[in-house]
Amino acid sequence: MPNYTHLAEFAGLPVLTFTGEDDPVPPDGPPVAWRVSTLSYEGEPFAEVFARFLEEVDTARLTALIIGCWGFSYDVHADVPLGLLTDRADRFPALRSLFFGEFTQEEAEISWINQTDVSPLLTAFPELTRLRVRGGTALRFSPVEHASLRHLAFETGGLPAEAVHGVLESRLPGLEHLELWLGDENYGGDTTIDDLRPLLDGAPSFPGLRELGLRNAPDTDALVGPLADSALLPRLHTLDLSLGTLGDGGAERLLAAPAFRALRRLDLHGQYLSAAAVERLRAGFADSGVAVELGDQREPYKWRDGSERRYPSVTE
Amino acid sequence: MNPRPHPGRAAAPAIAVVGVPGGRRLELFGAAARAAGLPEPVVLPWRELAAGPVAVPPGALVRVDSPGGEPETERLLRGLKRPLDPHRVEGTAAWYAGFRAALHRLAAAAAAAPGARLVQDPAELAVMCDKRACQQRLGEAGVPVPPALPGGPVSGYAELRRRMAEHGRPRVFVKPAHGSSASGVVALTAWGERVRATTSVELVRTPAGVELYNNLRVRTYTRPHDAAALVDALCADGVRVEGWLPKASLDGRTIDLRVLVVAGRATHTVVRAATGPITNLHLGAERGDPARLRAAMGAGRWRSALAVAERAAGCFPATLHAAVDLLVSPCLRRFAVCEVNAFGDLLPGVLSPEGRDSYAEQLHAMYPSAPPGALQVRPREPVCTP
Repeated sequence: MPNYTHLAEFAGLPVLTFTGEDDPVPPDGPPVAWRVSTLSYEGEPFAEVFARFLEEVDTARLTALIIGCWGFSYDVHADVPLGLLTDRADRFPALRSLFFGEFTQEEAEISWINQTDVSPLLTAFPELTRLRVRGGTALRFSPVEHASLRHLAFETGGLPAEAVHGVLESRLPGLEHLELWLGDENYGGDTTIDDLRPLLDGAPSFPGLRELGLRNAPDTDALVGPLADSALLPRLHTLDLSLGTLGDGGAERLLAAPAFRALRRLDLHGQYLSAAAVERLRAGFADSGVAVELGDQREPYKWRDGSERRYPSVTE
Repeated sequence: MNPRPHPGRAAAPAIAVVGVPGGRRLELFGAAARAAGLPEPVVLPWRELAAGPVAVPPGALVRVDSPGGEPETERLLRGLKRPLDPHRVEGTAAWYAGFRAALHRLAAAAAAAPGARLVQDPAELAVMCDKRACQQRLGEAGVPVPPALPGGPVSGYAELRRRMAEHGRPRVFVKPAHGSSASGVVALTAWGERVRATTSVELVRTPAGVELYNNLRVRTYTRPHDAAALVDALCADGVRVEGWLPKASLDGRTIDLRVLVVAGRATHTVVRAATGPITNLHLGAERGDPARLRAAMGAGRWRSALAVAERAAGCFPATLHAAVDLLVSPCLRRFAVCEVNAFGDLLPGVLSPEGRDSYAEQLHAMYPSAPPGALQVRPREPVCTP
C-alpha cells in the first residue's frame, strides 16, 4: 500500500529525515527534501522538533518539505503543525513542494490522521507549486485563489464532499495535476459523482488541468461512464483510476468509449480485473498508444455467506 | 556414514536436551551435533519433566528447548486433568506456573548430577518467559523498550481504555505476559468510539462464555464489545500493555528484526516483513532481505541495532542464547526491544557470518575448540545486573 513506506524521494529530491542529532546537515550539499517528524520513540513534541529544524537547517534554500508524523494524531491536531508552518512562512522563501501529513500506516492509519482546513497553507505560500495532503478525517479546504499551484493531491481513506466542494470552488489557473483519493463511506468518504460534476463538466477554474486521479474509489466502475461523457476527458493526457475497485464491467466501458483512446497514460493498477479483462485492456489500448498500467491485481473479499465485495485499497 | 569424531572433542561432555522427541528443533539440533562430530544428544523429554522429576546424566551440558508443540506436555504444565485444545489462547498463567516448577525440578536434577551444567539459567529463562518481568529488567538496564502503560497491571478493558485516554496513548500492544509466537497479542488503537483491535485471536462466543483461539489469519475487530471481550479474557492470565511504537518499512512492508544472540554476540538476523502490525512469520509475514535493510540503514546504524540486541541478551548473562525481537523506527535510527524469546532459535536456513546455523552456533559456543569440556557461557561481563 502507498502509505506503508516513507517517501524516499519527493519533488524529484532525495528525502532526509530531520532529527537534529546523529546526521550532520550538509551545509553546501546537493539539494534535498526534508521530512520533519516527531520521533514517537522519544515523544519530543512536534513544536520542539520544528523549532530545532528552523535553527539547524538552512530553510531559505529549501524547496521541498514533508511534514510527517506530528504525534499521536488524536492527541495533536493538524492545526499545530499547520500553525507552526504558516507562522514561519517567512523562513521558507524558496518552498515550492509541500507534503502535509505523511504518516505511514504504522504511525497512524490514514483515517486516524486528524486533518484540518489546509487552504491556509496555500495562502501562506503563494509560490507553492505542489501540495499533497494525507488524511481525510476532518479535512476541509476553504476556497482559495492561487496562481502558482500545479499539483494538488488528497490521499484519504474517505474524502469528505465538503473538502471537494472547496477545491472545486477554488481558482487554480496553474493546476495541472489533481488527485482525489475518494475512499470508503465508512471512513468519511461521502463524495459522490454529483459532487464531482463541476470537474467533469470542464472545470473552468482549472484551465490547465491535464492529469486527473480519481483514486482509491469505492466504485471505480461507476466513474467510467461519467468520465467517458465528460467535457473534461478530452483535455486530459493522464487518467489515474488506480487503487480502486475496477472490475470487468468498468474495463468493458473503458474499451467501449473512444474518448479514453486519446489519453497518453491510463493508470489502473490495484484492480479487481479478470485475467481476460486485463488482456483485452492491454490489447485494446496498445493500438492507440496509451500506456496502461494494470498491476497489483486484487481478490474480492469473500463473506461467509458466499457474497463478494470489492474495497478500495486504503480505507482504515 | 558417521562423521569422524572431532579429535579434540573425543572427550567432549555429553549434551542433554530437554525437548520434544520427534520435533523439528531436536532434529535440527541433533543434525548440528552430528555435523560437528559431537556425541548424539541425550533427549530428556519435556513430557517427563512436565510430569515430575527427571535424571540428568552426570557431566552433561544441559540445554532446554521449547516445550511447545506437544499437547500432552502443555496439558501437564497447565495441570489440567482433561486433554487440552492446543488452539486455545487462555491458560497461560497456569502454563507459566507449571513451566517454572519444571525448570525448578530440572535445576535440582542438574545440581544432583556430578559435573552437569545447565547452559541456560532457569531463573533467567523464567524472566524471559514473563514479558512484564523481562521488559522491566531490560528497562532498568537502560535497554530501550516500548514504554509500559503507566499504572501497573491492567485488570480489564474498561480500565485499559480509561488509562489509555488518561495518558494520551491511543495505540498500544496488549500482550499476554506468558504468551509466545504472538499468541493473544492484540494491536489496539482506540479513541472515543473508534476501536481497532488487530490480532491472530479468534473470538468465539459460546453459551458458556467467551473463548479465544489462535488462528493463522490475522483479523481486526472494530466493534467495541468484541475488543472488550477479547481484552477481558486475556487479562485473566495477566498482560503487559505497552506503547505501539511505529515500525520501519522496507519495500512497502512493515518490518522488525529477530536477532539471535549466542554467547553475547548477535549471530543470526532475520528481517520480518508484514502487511500489518503483527510480524510473526507463521502469521503471514515474510522474510525480508537483511542486506537491503542494512544498506538502507547504513553499516553504522546496523551495528547499533545489533548492539542493542546484544545488550538485551546481556541482561541474561548465564543463558547461552536469546532471540531478541527488535523494533526499528520509521527513520531507521531508533531501536527498541519488544521481546526476548527464550526459544526463538528455530531459524532454519539462516546462517551466521561464519556460515553456522543457529544450532551449530550454540554448539560452537558450548565447545570452544580446545580443550573440550570448558563451557563458555559468559564470554564477557554482563552489561546489567538483574
